[in-house]
Amino acid sequence: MPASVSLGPFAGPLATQVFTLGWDDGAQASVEEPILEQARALDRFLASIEKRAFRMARIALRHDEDALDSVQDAMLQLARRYGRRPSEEWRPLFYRILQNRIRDCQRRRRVQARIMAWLPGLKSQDDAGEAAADQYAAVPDRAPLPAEQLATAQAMLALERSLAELPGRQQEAFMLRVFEGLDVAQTAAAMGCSEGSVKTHYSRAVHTLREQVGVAW
Amino acid sequence: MSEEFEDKARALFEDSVERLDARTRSKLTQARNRALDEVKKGAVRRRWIWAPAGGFALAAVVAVGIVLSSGRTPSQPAPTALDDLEIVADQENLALLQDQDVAFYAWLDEQ
Repeated sequence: MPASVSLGPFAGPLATQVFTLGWDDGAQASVEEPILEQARALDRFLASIEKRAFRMARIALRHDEDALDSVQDAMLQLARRYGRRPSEEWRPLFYRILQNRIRDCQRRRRVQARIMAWLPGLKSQDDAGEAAADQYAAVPDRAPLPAEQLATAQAMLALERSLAELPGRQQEAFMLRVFEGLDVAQTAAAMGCSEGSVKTHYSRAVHTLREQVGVAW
Repeated sequence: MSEEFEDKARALFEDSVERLDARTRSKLTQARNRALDEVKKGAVRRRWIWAPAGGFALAAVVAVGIVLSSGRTPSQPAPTALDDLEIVADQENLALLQDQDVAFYAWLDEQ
C-alpha cells in the first residue's frame, strides 16, 4: 500500500489494522492461535477416548481392522464437521458418529454374507485368503498368563460374548452408560433417541447380562 | 446388586483397555494425527475462501477513501457531454437562439 494515497477520514487505527491483516506476522499469528488451540484441545479429547472407543467398536464388530477403521472414520468426521463446536459437545457427537459407522459396517457384512451365500466359490477363496493372512493367529502364546490375569481375561471374554449377542440398541446403551460413563441425556444424544428409550434399552441389557454373565463371575 | 455388576463390568473393560497391544495403540495414534491434520487443512481452506471477499472489501474501502478525499460528492455530479447534447436538442433553447440577433452576439464575442 503506497504511503502517498490519502484515505481521508478512513486513515487511522482501523485502516492500519485492515491493511496489515495477512501481511503482518503478528496479526497472522493471532489468527492461527485459536486454530492451534482448537487442534490441541481435539488432540487431548481424542487421546482420552480412542482406546475405549476402539474396545467398544471391537466388541460390537468382533474384528480388529473393522474396529480401527470405524474409530478412524469417526475421528475424521468429528474433526471435519464438528471440530469448531464447543468441546463439551464432542463426546456424544463422537459416539454418535462411531455408532453409525459400526451399524454401517454390520449392514455391509450382512449384504456381503448374503452375496457370499449365493457364490460359494468366492466364499471359499475369501476364507483361504483370510487363513493365509492369519497364519500366526492360531499359534498359541507361550508366555503363560498369571492366574489372576487369566481369570480377568476370561471374565471379560464372557462379558464380550454376551454383549455381542445383545440387540444393537441395548448393546450401545450399556457400553455408553457403563464403559464410557455417559449420563442418560448424553447417551440419548449419542444414540439419537429419547432418554426414556435409553433407560429401557439399558435396563433390559443389564438384566440379560446379569443373567448370562453373573453366574460365570 | 446392579451397581456391583456394573462396577465389575467397568473394571474389566478398563483392564482390557489398559492391555491393548502396541500395534493397536500406534494405529490409533496415527488415526488421531490424521484427524488433527484435517483440522489444520480445514482452517487453511477457510482462510483462503475469505481472501477474495477481503480483497473486494479492501478495494471498496480504497475507492471510497479516494472519492471522499477529492472533495466531490455524488450529489454534485460533474457536467458531461450528454448534458451539452440535452441543451442543444432542447426545442425551446433552439427557438430562443433563432430569435436573437446572431450577428450581435458574434460582435459581442469579438470585443
